[in-house]
Amino acid sequence: MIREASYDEVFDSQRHFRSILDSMARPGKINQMKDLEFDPPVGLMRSTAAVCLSLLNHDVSFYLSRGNQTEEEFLKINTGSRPSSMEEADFLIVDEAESPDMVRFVKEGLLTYPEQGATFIIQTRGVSEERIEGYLGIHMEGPGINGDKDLYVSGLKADWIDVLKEKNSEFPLGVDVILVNDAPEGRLNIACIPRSARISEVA
Amino acid sequence: MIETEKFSRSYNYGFIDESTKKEIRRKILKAVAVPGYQVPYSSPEMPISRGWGTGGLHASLSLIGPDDVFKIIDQGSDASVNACNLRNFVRRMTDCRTTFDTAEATIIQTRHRITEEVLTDKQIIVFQVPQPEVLRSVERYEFKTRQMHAEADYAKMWVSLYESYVKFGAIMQGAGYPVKVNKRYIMTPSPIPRWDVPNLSHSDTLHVFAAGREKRIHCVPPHTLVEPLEFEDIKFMVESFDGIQCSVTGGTDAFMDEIYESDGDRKHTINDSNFMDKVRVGIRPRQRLFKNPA
Amino acid sequence: MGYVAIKGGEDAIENASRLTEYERVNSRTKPLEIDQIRTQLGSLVDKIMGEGSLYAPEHAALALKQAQGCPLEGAFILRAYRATLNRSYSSDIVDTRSMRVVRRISSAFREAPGGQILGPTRDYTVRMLNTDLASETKEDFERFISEFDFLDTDVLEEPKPFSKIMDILMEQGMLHGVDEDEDRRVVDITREAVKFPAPRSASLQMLARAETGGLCALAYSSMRGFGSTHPTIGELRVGKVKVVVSDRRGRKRCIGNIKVTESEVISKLKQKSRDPVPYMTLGYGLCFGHNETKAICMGILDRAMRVKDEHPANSQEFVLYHTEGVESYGFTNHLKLPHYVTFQSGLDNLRKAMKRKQDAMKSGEKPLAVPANAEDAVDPAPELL
Repeated sequence: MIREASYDEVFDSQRHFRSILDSMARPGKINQMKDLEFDPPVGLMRSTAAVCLSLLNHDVSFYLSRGNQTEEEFLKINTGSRPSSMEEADFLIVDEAESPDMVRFVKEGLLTYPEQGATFIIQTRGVSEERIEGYLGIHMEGPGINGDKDLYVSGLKADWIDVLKEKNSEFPLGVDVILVNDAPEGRLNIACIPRSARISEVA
Repeated sequence: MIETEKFSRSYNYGFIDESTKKEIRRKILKAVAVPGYQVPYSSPEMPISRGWGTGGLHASLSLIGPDDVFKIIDQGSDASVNACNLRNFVRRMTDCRTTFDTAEATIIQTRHRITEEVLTDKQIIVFQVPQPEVLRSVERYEFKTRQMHAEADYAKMWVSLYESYVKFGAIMQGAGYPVKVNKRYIMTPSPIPRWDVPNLSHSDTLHVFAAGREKRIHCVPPHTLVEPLEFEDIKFMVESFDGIQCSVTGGTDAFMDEIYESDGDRKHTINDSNFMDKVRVGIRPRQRLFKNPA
Repeated sequence: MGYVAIKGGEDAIENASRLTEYERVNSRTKPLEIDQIRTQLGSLVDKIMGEGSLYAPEHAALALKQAQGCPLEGAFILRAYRATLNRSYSSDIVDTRSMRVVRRISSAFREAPGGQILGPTRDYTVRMLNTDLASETKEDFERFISEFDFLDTDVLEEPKPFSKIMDILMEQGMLHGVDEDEDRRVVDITREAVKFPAPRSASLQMLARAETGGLCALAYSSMRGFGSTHPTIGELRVGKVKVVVSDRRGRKRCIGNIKVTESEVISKLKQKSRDPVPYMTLGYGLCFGHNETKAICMGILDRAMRVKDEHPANSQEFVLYHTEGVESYGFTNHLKLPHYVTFQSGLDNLRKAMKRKQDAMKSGEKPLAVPANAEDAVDPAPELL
């Protein structure tokens, strides 16, 4: 596998980062990232690749819950980052259909250094700020949110909310979540749930 | 022998190498997720002195892209010599458009002020922070202050504020008044004057505080509760400029500079240079004004 | 819209910078050549390579020329340049036992295996101002060099591995090189901010980058009475060591030689709680170039910081933060930046305090204190800006 030459390490990563930052600073807000000019391997969404290429490098490690050799190789070559165990990983890339049990085992940081808590990148088939039937509604309050905010995610099981709530119950310890979704017409959607958000299921 | 071409070669976009930018970006994201907490970061040397805005540059240059419009102020002024120097550097390293107009800027780097004009959700404000550790005045060791933050043990800080009240009849903290963010971390709002402190709370804008020399980044996301430390009966007060008029524009209700003339006369001018320019031509940009409790 | 508030800041800084340059060239003397600085001001070049954290004699000489000889500024320029360079490899551990020694002394023994080698040193010269140097010529250089013609440079270049004095003492169990509970993680403080308590690797790295004068002041304080580190120099060696990296295929490549100064200082006896036999401890220093003061002071402070005591040099945070030259230089100079906004905030407090006093006097109450000046008006949490 060779490195993606069509990715602009300077400008693509900067634009993608600003979308991620805006979504992290405004939990539940969906931003559209600029599309990529290449196709990542099948296990990685284009939006996942955009987030990874923007944030990962040799200083951090990742864990692919369902990835095979190809996905792993793609991330290694394009970011310099290294694969690691679930317990050690800085970034965990998972699919929405998966059980949230692993959240219990990942890094949540130390009280003196809470930033060492892991970041989840959850690949979804749909995210929306408007209610969609069958989607899991996540109600959020907290920093970055003017009042409250609902975010709807396809395919995510309701127990994700309970597990995340538990993991983030001893703030500032916890994990931060980036939800990604490849929408039609090359729209790469992104929304975030930082550990500071107080979440519950939309009634 | 030195290859002279090496010195004339162009630097990376934004001066900082991409690997370090990624690290700074990850740290900014974590600082956003834990509002008010100081995230350590690598803080490489910049070609300007430590203590002169290296942290601000790290943050701004990790955020900035070709579509951004950059504004930088020092003590409220676009014309301050250090602001000019840093503006030129950022322009040279990014080719970005720069501006004095607060409303037009997408990234505003500042030292010691928040603009009078209210900032929007399309803007990010980056503060140059000299001393990020709000507890340093009551505890000199970093490993101890870190522990205090970890346990939210802020007793020493409260005692020191109360002692000030007993001794002087007021909390005498000038600029850099300590605040509590999201009911969890006590934080220094860089040393902005008290006048600006209420504007940190529930604003539409992301605030990034970067201390280069001390290698720490902390953030106040938009719509976040930021409370100045006060007691039930001893309230936080902003600087009072009651009855004071700007000698250039006639404007009131803004942070004022106090200027002494050669003959000893005293006059005042609006501190925020762009705000003053707008007031002078009859535009009054939207402001959030805090009224001191009676 | 006219920008009334903008007053010529741009022109001012441009002119200030040109004036500085004018002061350098105004004399119309012969421009300094980089090679002259590198060779004839070698001690200064070595010092700023260490503080600049970049082994590059020519670049260091250039930085010094640009800084008009100010070592703090020179080290700063070099550091800023260093920060723009990509890190392609990490070197293997340098073994100083295979150093090509030009100078090697031990104060611990009269004679040492391999011998005491005085080498180049000013230690035993009388420091009288040498007026002859004022009228020195190139011919004088040649005449002096010709006196060294008998030297066989091939023999000089032959590496002579020396065993270390430390090894002798360690083999006998009298000296312990590391503490039992030592944090031996290898961290790089240029890639992540230092965390306290810092592992010894971070501590030594920061000392190696620290400002020589700052190290000297604190090491001296520890020796003189604010502490009890009065060590014996087990060994001090100066010479060249090979730097080896592994390329992408794992092959070892020597990328060059660098001159370093290494000191191993033996400190007083220590005793373990469960072992009545005391032992000696070691302080270590290694820095770029020939800079014996720095290496020795590093050794003293490396030891002092691992002693639990209350003196300044015993505090890792105190020593490491405050000997950092580029940071202390920048921050002390930042006081020249305008601070009128923060000052105004202090004035406001002071005026209100004075008013409270007046009001209290009028009503006959006991007045509260008024701070003596505007700086104190920000007490009790002094504004650290």
